[in-house]
Amino acid sequence: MNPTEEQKENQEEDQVFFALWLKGDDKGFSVLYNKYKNRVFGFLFKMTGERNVAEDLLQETFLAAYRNAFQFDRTRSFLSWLFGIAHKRTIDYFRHAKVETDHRQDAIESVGSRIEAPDEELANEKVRQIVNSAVENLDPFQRDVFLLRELGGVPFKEIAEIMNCPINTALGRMRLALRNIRKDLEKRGINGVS
Amino acid sequence: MECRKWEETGLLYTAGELTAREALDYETHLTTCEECRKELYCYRSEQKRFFTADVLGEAPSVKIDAEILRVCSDPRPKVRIAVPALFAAFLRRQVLVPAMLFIVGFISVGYIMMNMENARQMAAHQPQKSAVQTMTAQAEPDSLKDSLAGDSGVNFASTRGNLNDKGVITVDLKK
Repeated sequence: MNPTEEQKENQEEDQVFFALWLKGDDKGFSVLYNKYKNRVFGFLFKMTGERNVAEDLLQETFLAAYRNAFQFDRTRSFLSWLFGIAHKRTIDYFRHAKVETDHRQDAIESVGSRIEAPDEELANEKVRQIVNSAVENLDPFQRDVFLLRELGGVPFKEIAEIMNCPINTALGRMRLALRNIRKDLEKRGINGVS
Repeated sequence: MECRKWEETGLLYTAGELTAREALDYETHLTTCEECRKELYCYRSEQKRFFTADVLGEAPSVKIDAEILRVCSDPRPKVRIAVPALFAAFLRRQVLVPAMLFIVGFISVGYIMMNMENARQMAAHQPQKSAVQTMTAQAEPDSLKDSLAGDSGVNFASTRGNLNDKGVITVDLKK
């Protein structure tokens, strides 16, 4: 099964639960929330670098989705729509707080310290930390495009709309992000192909 | 030297955003371009191993989970949400400006048509009025015609306007 078919199936399943949610069935929302909370929270955490802030933004994102559920265009992917809201919340947060640089620096430092922590029992956990560190070392624009695409599955056309840039710019940032992550992983002894 | 096709088309190909024709063209390109083949292979491998929700995702705290589920599972006030949502959709889809233009255009055309109709009706009533005037004129006695002729503007200057032969009107202020 190629990714497109998988995405389509996923989208159809989301539509079913979304319809339930709109009808007032709690199950619809809880299924969608549990399915996507880690992705959305991962995005928010990596973008803000602070757990508390990311949790607040997660709450705001799902509340905004809850309030604006009637505006959701059913032809789009639910996850893309959710990531669009999350991205907007992040931008609003940085616009109001004006703390981007400080937070990014803190985030990078905190991730660095986590990697050095004695947690070698689980190799997967270490790989996870290294990958996350590589993602957090990216330029903010590259990180944004990369996370929207990989965590949110947002199509490049929509990424360009969300970030208000031409699609070629979004593709260029994605290419650079992939290259930088690969370099970072190789530096730490992880080969993506193996 | 990197092949530009990877950035321009390869990434869209992996995201399933190419048309069937474009995808076929790129697959043909892949058979000849080793660089793109390698990039595609590496990217797919990285996606499977590292770029997953398990690796990149983070779990929020249980407290936040419970809070979000509690707030968003409350009964939905449908009417209160539906009305602003519809209005927002109305604005968002940029229907407002064309709708306003349509309304203004409709009113303008209506106004013009109303004026045209009024003009048409006035024109239709005009001959009747003339007929009445003609009848009145015919009914006027000759004596009345003569008295009116004395007051006509043509005779005024020479008879009552005191216009002398130099074209100056002298006025007696003592009167």
